[in-house]
Amino acid sequence: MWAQWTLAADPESVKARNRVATLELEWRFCYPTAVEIDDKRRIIVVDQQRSRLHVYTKEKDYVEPQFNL
Amino acid sequence: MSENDIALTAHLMRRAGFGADRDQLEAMAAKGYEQIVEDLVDPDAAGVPEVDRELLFRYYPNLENPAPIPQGRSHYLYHLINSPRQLEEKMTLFWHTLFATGYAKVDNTTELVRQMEIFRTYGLGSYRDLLVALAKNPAMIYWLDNNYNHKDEPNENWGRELLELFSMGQGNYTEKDVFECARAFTGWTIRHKIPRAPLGRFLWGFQYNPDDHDDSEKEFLGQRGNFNGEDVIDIIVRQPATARFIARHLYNFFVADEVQVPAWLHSPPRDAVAVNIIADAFVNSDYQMKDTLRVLLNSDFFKEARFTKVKSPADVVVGVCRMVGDFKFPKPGLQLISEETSYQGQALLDPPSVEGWHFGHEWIDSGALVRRVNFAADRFSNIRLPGIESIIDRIKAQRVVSPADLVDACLDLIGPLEVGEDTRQELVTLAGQRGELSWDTEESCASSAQRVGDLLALIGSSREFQFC
Repeated sequence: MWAQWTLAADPESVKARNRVATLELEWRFCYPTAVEIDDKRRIIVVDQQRSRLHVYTKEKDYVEPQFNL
Repeated sequence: MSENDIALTAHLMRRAGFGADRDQLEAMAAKGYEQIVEDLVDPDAAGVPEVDRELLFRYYPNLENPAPIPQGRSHYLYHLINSPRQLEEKMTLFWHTLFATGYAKVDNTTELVRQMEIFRTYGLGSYRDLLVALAKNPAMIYWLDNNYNHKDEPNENWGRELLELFSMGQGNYTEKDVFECARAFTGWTIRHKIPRAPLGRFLWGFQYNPDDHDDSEKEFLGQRGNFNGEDVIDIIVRQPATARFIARHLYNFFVADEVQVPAWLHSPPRDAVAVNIIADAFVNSDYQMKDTLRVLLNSDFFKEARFTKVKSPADVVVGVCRMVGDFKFPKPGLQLISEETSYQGQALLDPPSVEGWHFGHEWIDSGALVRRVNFAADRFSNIRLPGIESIIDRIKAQRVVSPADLVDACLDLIGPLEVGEDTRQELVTLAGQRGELSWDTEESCASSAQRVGDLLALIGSSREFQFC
């Protein structure tokens, strides 16, 4: 959330982000150092060089059971 | 294996690398000189492995994308100390000295470290390919303002330095050539990048903007055409002046200290015959560095040039670490030691200007000399370091007891290092102040071992140790 606030308060950053060809690089890991599964079955990855956590939720209800054989 | 084989191998490894301990020297000397050179110039063919970076990043995760400059220096220094591909690594320093790019302006450690990787990849290959890779290197583009080199407003900085400092040298081109060279590189720039906040830095990348490139006719070094950057580089590498300039740099870096680069326009080479031999090898090999270096390292003028160069701070720091076996593993303290070359006058990844460092006797001043001596003496007197333990074991096995024999054994095992008779006599006198050595009891062994360390520290403080 703080990152979103930081961005929203900085129009120069918003402009700079609009100029880049792709933001796909932001989603990549940058030297992940640890992975855990919490009690809600979420996969949490420590993305060390980006100072953040990646949180993955298993979307087990997304695919109908009959198509998931 | 003769003593001369060891001495010659040691000379080769000091120049084409950062030195080797006695075990390594003996193993290499057994292969024969020409085979060692072959393994050095073509480590891929020889199957020589690269540095184990996973191990480095396991213990220093912040070095994968280093941010503060000491982290970048730690990354680089670890490679200099530990790369089994020693000539490849030495060539990164050669090119870093020649294509001097500095943190003071670039202000991006990761990109400077990535430039070292370009030198690692292309440094022993084609000089032409290296120039092209460098022209597309974002750190270099930013360093020499090519991102401000536009079709309607050429910026000459990169074009000028490409000719003056990176290829041909002063006096071999005109101001018009500089301007035309700059025009050929218009549109070679850095792509827009994701801003630094809030997730940290993202890598810079090269981008060619055809709309910003001046595609009209140019006249460059007597040739006409709608040249782009690569065309200009093709013309540059074929110039006889380029071969002479690169050959003189190679002679200066690997063979013997020249006058400083700005004086080359008015001062003939120290050994014009040797420079011509290197230049011919450069041209005849189609500008392949490994073939050029093969000729240089196998030449008589190289073999006869022992102890004619003042060690650079990198030579001192990396050479001592390799000799004593320190930082073979990414243990704590790497960052502290990585600043040592800066204290001695060579701030790696941050040369003083695009001209690079001055060398030879200019490495030595009263402050730098104290740092050099203290750095070497601190490590040579530490008898717990594996390289010193190995020297002590050899001396103990030889049952060396007399001070004169101790001096000769230490000079041999630390180099072999050639010293003047006055220096040797001084060392014998100092070693003799505590009488003969004894290896009879545990206590006497410990005392003798420390005396070996103390004597090695004295040798590391000698005038002769400052040369390679």
